[in-house]
Amino acid sequence: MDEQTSLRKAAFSFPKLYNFPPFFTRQPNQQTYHTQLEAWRKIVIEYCRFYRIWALSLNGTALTNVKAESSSGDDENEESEPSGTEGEKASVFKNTKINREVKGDFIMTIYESLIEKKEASWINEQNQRLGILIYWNSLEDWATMLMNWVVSTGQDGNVLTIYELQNGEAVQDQEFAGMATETLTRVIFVLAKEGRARVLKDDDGTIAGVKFGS
Amino acid sequence: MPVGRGLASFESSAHKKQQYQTLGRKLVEEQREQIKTQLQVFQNALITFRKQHAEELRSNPDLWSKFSEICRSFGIDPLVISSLGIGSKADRQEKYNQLALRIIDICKLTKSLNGGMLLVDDLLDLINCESWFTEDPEVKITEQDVLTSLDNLKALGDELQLITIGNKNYIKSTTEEINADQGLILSAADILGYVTVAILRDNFKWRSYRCKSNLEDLVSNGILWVDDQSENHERRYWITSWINK
Repeated sequence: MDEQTSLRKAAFSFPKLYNFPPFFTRQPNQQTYHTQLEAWRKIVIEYCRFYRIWALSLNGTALTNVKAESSSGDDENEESEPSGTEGEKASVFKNTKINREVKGDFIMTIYESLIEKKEASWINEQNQRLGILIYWNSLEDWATMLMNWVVSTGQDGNVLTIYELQNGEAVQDQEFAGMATETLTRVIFVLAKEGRARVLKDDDGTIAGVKFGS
Repeated sequence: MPVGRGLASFESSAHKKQQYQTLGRKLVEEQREQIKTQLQVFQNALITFRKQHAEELRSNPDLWSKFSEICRSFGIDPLVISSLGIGSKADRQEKYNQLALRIIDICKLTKSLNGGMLLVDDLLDLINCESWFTEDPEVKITEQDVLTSLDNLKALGDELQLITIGNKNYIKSTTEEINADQGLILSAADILGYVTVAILRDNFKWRSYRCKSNLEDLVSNGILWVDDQSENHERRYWITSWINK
């Protein structure tokens, strides 16, 4: 844990391209554009991995409270976040140093390219404004990690709640600790599909817990 | 065995488990450090051997190929190996051949970024940024090395050309020709990192269409990148060598 906190204090180091002003304008040359898009995809993934961001808004700021419905709620996980200037939330797409930012339609293209590579998905396909989940590990990799942890801690066959999987004391040193519920749900569905976990639902349809093992 | 009831059933052991895990991590870390140190010792020994036995290595091709293989498997850059203990013409030739390979690689890798116009200074930075080159002045690659290496490559065709624009050397790996106007544009862009139609018009007294068509050609070759967010809203055309500034 100490290790992680100290890492998080340092700022993410962007590649040099991030300080090159035209990097923020969509390039008309197809090949250049392709290179540009690839570079952006990589930056988004690594940025989110570094700050442990599970979801981004449509303008590239970190979402701490990920909800698939547009209702308000309390912030559950208070992660340290990349800070912008003067209280403004930092966006991965905004470089205040050179006064450049990626515009909305280009951000959408970057998001679509991430989704196409299965490195992200909309929080709610029907309501894309809610933002996007970023998978800095693939859902399959997260599923494997989660399952490995379950097996190695001898909890095969046990029932665990979503909260325990996110914030339980025993998961604090795991890479998936603090995972957004929306992401975790998808990871669990991967396991459920493979028959390695069973989802237990409450009366109101929300996930109450997960029974691991077949 | 009791039926599992979530994490509560083993919370008492959680603390102990965490201690084991911390210990485990520490051991792995220490082991990794040790292996890293060992690797460095081996690498240094190989480099010393290369320097001390330059003569033998040169006269015995069999030994040389085996030695190179060992070096590669220990993660030593072949360009470093061939830059050490240079005594004869053949040694130098070997170094320039290795360097040529590296230049071709870097040109390929960076082509989609710079349209096939690579600044020699950038090339040197890319090669010399590896610790091998920074730590040992004997292996550090110089501009002259690059020029000689490119000269040698000429025998194989003109895929890579050295062209001088303003006072800067570029390696051109694109087949597109750079005309005189475009050369002027690139050397002007080297001052601020970018040019605009207005800058070209004012400095070269060109008509707008001449500025535009040349700029557009350079953009479509991937050599210039456009920037539409300047303070005065005039489109700027940037040269990619500015990425490393």
